[in-house]
Amino acid sequence: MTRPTQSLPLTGGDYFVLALDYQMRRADMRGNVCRLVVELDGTVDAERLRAAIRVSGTQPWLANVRFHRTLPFLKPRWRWCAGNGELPVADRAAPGGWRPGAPLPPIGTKQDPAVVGLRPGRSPVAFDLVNGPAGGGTTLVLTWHHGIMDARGAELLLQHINAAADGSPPSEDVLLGNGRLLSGAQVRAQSAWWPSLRAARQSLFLVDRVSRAPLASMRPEGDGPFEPRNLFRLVSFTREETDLIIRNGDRAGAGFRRSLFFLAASARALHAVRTRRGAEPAAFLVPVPQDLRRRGAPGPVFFNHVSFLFYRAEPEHLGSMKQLVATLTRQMTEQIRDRMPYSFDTAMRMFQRLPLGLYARILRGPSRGRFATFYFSDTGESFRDQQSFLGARITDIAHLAPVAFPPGIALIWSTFEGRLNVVLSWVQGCLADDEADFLEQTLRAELLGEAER
Amino acid sequence: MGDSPTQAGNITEELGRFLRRQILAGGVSFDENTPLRDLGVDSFALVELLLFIEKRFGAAVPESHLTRANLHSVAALARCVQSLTGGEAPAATQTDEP
Repeated sequence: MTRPTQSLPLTGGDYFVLALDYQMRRADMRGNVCRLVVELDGTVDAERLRAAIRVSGTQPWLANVRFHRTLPFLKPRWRWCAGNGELPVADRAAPGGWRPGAPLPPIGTKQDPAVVGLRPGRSPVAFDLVNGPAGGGTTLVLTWHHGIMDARGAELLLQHINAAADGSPPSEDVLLGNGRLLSGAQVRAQSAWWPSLRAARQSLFLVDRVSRAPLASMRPEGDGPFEPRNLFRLVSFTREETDLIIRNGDRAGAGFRRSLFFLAASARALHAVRTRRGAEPAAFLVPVPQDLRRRGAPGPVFFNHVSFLFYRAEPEHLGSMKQLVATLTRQMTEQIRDRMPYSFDTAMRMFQRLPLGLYARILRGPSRGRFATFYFSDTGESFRDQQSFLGARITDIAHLAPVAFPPGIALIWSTFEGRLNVVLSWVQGCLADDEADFLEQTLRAELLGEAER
Repeated sequence: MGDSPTQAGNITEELGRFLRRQILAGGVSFDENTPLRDLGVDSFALVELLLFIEKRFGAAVPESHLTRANLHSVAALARCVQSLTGGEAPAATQTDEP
């Protein structure tokens, strides 16, 4: 593949996550840097991984990409600079006492040494191979700046690197998309000025309606102390537990909308944390990302192809799992009927003209960031069609996403080989240690059926 | 199209066409019995499909019919829609747009 020299417009999702990145860096955090942790039952050699990355054709795109805006209020673009940069691949020995999965490493402050970022001298993507003791397998950690790729893109990137090693590198269209792999409705929504404006306005009315005060915040009473670092906890379920959770979701009325049961359990567990703190009951607001790629598509790999559904749960609904699932179901159907994710995608594109600082300020909102009570994401089934990576069997995966404050707490759900994983991510100080324990216990009880339905 | 849109074969065809045009990536091959789950059809896409059924066939699929068996494949969903519409011609006005 020749070295790329062109530029491409950002997606609405790209600029949205860059605004969150701005908010994190302003709070002295490292930024919107995510990790995909893939546990492998076997050893992967760093040189073999470097070779696979090279033949995949992804390196010139990822190593040389820069955020670029010619003038204020012009739409920014991704631009590729000349260069033969390589993506960092590090081979590390696991520290003593380390075991895969937990405890998950925190993402530190922006003063901590970091190789991943969008600024000159940093790479937007890095690979770490953490080798356990002899025969203990390898953990592959893909670290990437969220600005250039979403969680689905990160999984697709690993799949294409693996396929490239077997002689099937992805095409440029698969990597970049160029709009061709997005849904017809989305392309149409972006193509006309007046309908776009109307759609954007419609989605912003919805956001305004669902974010009316009072909204619950997970901020503890008082002003801190808040440390500018993210902490993570992995909550894993066995296949048998996952089957029970699915049956409980059916009983709660979620049925095929399994994610809504996960969302309801998350909201009820956090509501219990607030109740334990003695906080006044208030409505929960949760924006939930939706993948805009066509289903079964091998790409686009790069950039953020997400929009959002916005859920609001009143205090009286939080008291009953069945009622909560019913109200979330109704909101989901209404918003999809109104084409809301496509309209909000259009709104996000329009916000691209704003300077990042102003955009981040809007997201924080006039009520100290009451854009969300917490963040929730369900990445669905991971690596469904791929059982191994460079010859080593994949045994588990987890997505580690940082969260800004506010809201300060995120729950990231994923499923691998029929087993459910939840990563709790929070800004240090937003949850005390005993509250994190309580949140995990309550979440388990909500899912496994020990709580009141 | 001369046949009633609510005949099982036609419903299957229309659901398949909707999936191809609105939900699935080009190049994804499937037939009426392919499990929707294997195609990557998630809850968001299923709701889009159900809203299409509501518009096209005038039949809102009730919660009690949204079982795993009925949502297994295009053919299973088509049979469910046919049972709801009773095989009679619906007052459908939309084409295959959601």
